[in-house]
Amino acid sequence: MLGNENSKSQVLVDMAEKKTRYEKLVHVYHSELYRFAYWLCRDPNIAEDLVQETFLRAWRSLDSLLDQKAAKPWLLTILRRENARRFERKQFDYSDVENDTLVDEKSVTLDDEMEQTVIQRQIAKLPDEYREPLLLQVVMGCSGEEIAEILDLNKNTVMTRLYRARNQLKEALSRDDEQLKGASN
Amino acid sequence: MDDLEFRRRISAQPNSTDRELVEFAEQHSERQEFINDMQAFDLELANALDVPVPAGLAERILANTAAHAQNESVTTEQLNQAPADTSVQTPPQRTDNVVEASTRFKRARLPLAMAASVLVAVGAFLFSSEQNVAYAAGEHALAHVYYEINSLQKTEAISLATVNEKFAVLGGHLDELPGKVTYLMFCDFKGQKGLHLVFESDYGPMTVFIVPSKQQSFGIGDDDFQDDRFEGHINRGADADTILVASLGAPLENYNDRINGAIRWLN
Repeated sequence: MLGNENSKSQVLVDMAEKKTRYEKLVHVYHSELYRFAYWLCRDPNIAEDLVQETFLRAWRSLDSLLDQKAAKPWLLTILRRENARRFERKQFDYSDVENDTLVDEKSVTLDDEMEQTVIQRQIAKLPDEYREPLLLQVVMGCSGEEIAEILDLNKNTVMTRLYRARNQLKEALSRDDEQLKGASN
Repeated sequence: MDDLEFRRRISAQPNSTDRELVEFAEQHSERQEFINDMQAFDLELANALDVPVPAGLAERILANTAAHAQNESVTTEQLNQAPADTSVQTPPQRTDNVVEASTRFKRARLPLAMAASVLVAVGAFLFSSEQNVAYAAGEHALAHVYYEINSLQKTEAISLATVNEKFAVLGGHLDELPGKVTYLMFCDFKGQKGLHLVFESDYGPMTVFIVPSKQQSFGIGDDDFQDDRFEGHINRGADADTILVASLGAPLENYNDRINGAIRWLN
């Protein structure tokens, strides 16, 4: 009976440790993951659902995360899988990029705001294969190796896609600029 | 390496510290300018991608997990209970089915109810603390440092102007920092967006968190904290809490005064 008590208290200790680890993961990564999810689906509600589901799965299989340093790619892999499932379950209507409403609570000047919306629209227009590595790098701060691991690509391919993503964005933005100038003349 | 390859590599990783790239850039001011342009563009991208995170998301995630964890534990108990239960069923020739059902009910119900209530209690204990900010502020700060421990190994300088560009989003301005800034991020501190930066000091890299105080993210716990590697101090201000975390033995107070003296709020 005493042994039983001991094993029970050990279960409680393990549980408390697991909970502490988990809480740290949530606190450290939820914002970045939300932003990444947002840019995958461009819908605040779906993004939150994705992050919720990701952390729930993370909780269930937390024991398989042996190295805390690997937490970020691990969470991202879960989130990407969840996002893919979303398409298996139901083909959501893509929200029209032009109609995207981004609520930005930050106080920025009108010029900044316009500039940002233009960039946001162009990022949303990038093909997935270019957008995703860029998001992983800029939003999640992943290294080339981490991106390669998460997307299951080799590192050279990742580098090429990152280069093309920025190149396409720059070109598109300078086209926008010219159009704006043309319109104001 | 030729210029084309240089441009491709910088475009792929504008913040690369690869020695080969750095040396190649040093040979020509145009190349250095290209790096600067791409880094500025990257900052624009980062700002554009920096969409607001819904308030209280972390708390909702933890509450959701707690709810599921409880349900799942109870369900597992029920499943475990089921086969044991059928194995001790009395032979079918018994005719008094009603009595039988009620005894079975009593026998199975008691341990199940106990197990369920214990698990609910454990779950409530484990997760309720989150709502009450039971994490002492210092512990929270240290956990954050450990989670971004790589931030202490960065060496590339970030200009004060870049720091202030981000800090302005929170309504603040830094006149100076006691050393070269090597890491700069917006981070989430219990639902409150704050600035996380690292600078180099004579006593190794030091971490500074500047977190607007309106949500009391660092509301509870001692002002001074330490573990076997770091020590830190929380300066609770009217506008923001400033948390400094340094290696054990660093003259914390001195740095603390310098940092807090350099912060200005713009409203």
